[in-house]
Amino acid sequence: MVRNGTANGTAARSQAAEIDRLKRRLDRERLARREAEAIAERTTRGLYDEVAARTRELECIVDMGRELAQSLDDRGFADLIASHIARAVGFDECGIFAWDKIQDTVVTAGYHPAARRSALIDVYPLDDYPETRRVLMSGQRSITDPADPTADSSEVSFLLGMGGKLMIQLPMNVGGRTIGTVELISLSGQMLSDRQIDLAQSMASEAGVMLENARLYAEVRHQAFHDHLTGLPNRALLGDRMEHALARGRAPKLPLVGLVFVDVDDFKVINDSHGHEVGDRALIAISQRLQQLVRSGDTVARFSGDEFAILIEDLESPEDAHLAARRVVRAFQKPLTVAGREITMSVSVGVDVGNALSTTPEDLVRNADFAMYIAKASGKSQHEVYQASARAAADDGAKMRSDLRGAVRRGELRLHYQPIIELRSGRIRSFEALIRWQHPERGLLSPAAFIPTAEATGAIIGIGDWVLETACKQLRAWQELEPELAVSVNLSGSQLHDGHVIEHVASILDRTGLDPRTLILEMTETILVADPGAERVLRELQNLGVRLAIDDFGTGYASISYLRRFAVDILKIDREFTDAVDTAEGTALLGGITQLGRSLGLELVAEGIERPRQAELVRNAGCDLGQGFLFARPAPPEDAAALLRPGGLPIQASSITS
Amino acid sequence: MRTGADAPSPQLAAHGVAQPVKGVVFDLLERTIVAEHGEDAWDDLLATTGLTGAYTSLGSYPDGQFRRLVDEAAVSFGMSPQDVIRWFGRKALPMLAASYPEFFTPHTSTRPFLLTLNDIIHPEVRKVYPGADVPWFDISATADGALVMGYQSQRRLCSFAEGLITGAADYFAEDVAIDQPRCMLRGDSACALVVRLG
Repeated sequence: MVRNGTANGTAARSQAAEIDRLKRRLDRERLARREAEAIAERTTRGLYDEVAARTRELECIVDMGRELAQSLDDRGFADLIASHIARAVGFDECGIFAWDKIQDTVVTAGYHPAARRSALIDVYPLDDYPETRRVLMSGQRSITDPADPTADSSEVSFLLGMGGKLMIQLPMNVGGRTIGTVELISLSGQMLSDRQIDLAQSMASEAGVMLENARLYAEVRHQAFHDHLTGLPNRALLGDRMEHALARGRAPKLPLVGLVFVDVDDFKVINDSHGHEVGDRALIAISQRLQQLVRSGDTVARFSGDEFAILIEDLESPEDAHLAARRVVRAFQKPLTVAGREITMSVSVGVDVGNALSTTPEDLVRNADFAMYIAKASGKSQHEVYQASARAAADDGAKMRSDLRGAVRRGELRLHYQPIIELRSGRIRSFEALIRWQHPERGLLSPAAFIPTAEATGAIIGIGDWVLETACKQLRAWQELEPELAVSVNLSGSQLHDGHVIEHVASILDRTGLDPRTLILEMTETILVADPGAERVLRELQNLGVRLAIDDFGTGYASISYLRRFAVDILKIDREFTDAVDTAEGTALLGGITQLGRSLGLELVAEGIERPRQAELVRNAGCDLGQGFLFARPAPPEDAAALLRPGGLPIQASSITS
Repeated sequence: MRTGADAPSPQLAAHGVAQPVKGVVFDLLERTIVAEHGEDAWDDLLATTGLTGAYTSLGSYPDGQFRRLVDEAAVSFGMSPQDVIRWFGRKALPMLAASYPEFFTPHTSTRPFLLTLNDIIHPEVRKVYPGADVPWFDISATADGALVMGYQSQRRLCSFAEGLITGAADYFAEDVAIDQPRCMLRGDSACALVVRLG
């Protein structure tokens, strides 16, 4: 029993122990389950918070990036960065400072709140802020707490000056370089968590990239709109400013805008005589002098090379622009000091004025430029106001110039021939070749209408060649009938000056086989006097055997000395003397000239004979040859040829010698 | 097969830094002991050590609790503490393989499996058990093809690593020999496990 009892007792005890053991096991499992659930909850919540915090941080960065990307060229760019960073970490104030390595300073770029910006100065020398320098050099953050006795005193006084109690300086790191700092200031003295500091650091570096982009953008834009040498606005920016200046205001109060166009007279000479480096420095000095002349709102631009333009906005009256132009001309009457030497120069200035209704930027430039040309043409160091009538005339001239360039090529030039008659026999001695231009729009033009333009543009050389060639070929053909016949061709001053005419005449004589004596070259006495080099050319021509005639003799210098010096063969007496021949005085004058000519062994031709009586008087005065409407007008070659046939001349020598 | 030091646990305790052990290790220890010695053995161990033993794989528990359990198991099973840890690692590995087959099935032998420890397996462990302080092995090979796995941890559980590696060789049905020419338990600055397979 006892044993049983004991056995039972043992069994009961072991059963109880077993239950106990199982209970403990159950408790353990229950406890473990609860703990696992609690851990799972904590973990889930923690992950959720983490994700939410990370998302918010990313949003801060993304929002800032997005907003900054849209305002890359705004002045408040850095203010925007500051406000984003301050708000992201919940700090009161935030400054953005750009590192100027050359000046060894930081420059205040932006601040939040923007209204507090005035508490800052623009530039902080790094010598005064060693802690800021450390942040920039090391790329490591720094925390300034005034309560910390080891805190840098200059940073502390800056912080206290801003009314702050704690400052965190973060480096703006861009691709391994530090370009500035972000300084977070707490007014309450609260500290940021490591996490917040990391966020601010991420944003600072992100902002650094954007700031760097903004700086590059500004730099590129500045380069695109400014002249590299002088730093002045360039033509593109000038155009833009003109556009804006004209577009401001509304009718009837449209602003009056003036453009002063400035061109340095003979700038090439400065470059040639002093070298391009001095030339460049002169341009800089010129740009500076121009800038001193204008109000702050006006634009001095470098238009091109040695051309500058001044845009004057909001003129009271057009006269103000004219006064400005005069000031510019005067300003350059004082020499310019360039690279230690004084350089004397002058400028030619043109002005045009208008408002949005009357002009466009393009017109302003064109007209002011044109007026400048007029000023230059009228003797340099002048100013000229644009006038539409001058433009119209110039436009005609321009059209004439471009038409004339192609006239020879297009075969629009003609030669008409007027005979020169032996007054005694009535025989045709020679023909004077006279040029005409069969203009496609304006009809047949006389030389007066286009030769001055041809002279001015140099087209005269080509035209002169053509005339010589054509006249000589024509003469060669006529000489089949009249072997003694001669032709006279007019030479211009440029042809004589050029000297090329010698070669050309030689070549024509050679090709046509003409007797050189039958080619007469006519020129006015003015040309001979004006060009000292003409003498050599004339001698060469005479060596070829051709004869020389002085045209319109008596209207200019009527100098005997050059008649002798140039060994002239023929004297053509101006029509003025023919006209006056029926007066006693006129007869005496003509007589004097013919006597003079004869004594020099010259042939004499009276020009402009229109009436038989004139022909008679001229012949009586001792002049053997005559030319004029009385005998024939200048005519195309086929009509002129008809004159050579017997009875071809409408008026016979017999009628003169009545 | 082993040359690793069977140092007594007090030495471990003396140098160990109180760093919590992940609950999953206690869980594996419990399952190993229950599998090999029955449920009562674990109950007895808890009773003897006076520990509650409510371990969940998600939690972390003081390092000291793990050492007390190992020391007590060593006494009960008549083994050294390091042998207990080694034995535990070898027996725990198949359980890990059953729970996380994705780390094992890509491989047909031990060596490539071991080479994925640093870059694949341990990063995954950190995801499942946030805060898990898994070791990083400095793995290299000797001229004769043995793997040298450098191990440095304040927990000094090189024996656990040895056990797990042996268990992995069992799993891939390969022979393995592991030497420890250097061991923190013998005063070296780091352990070097030289693993020869096949």
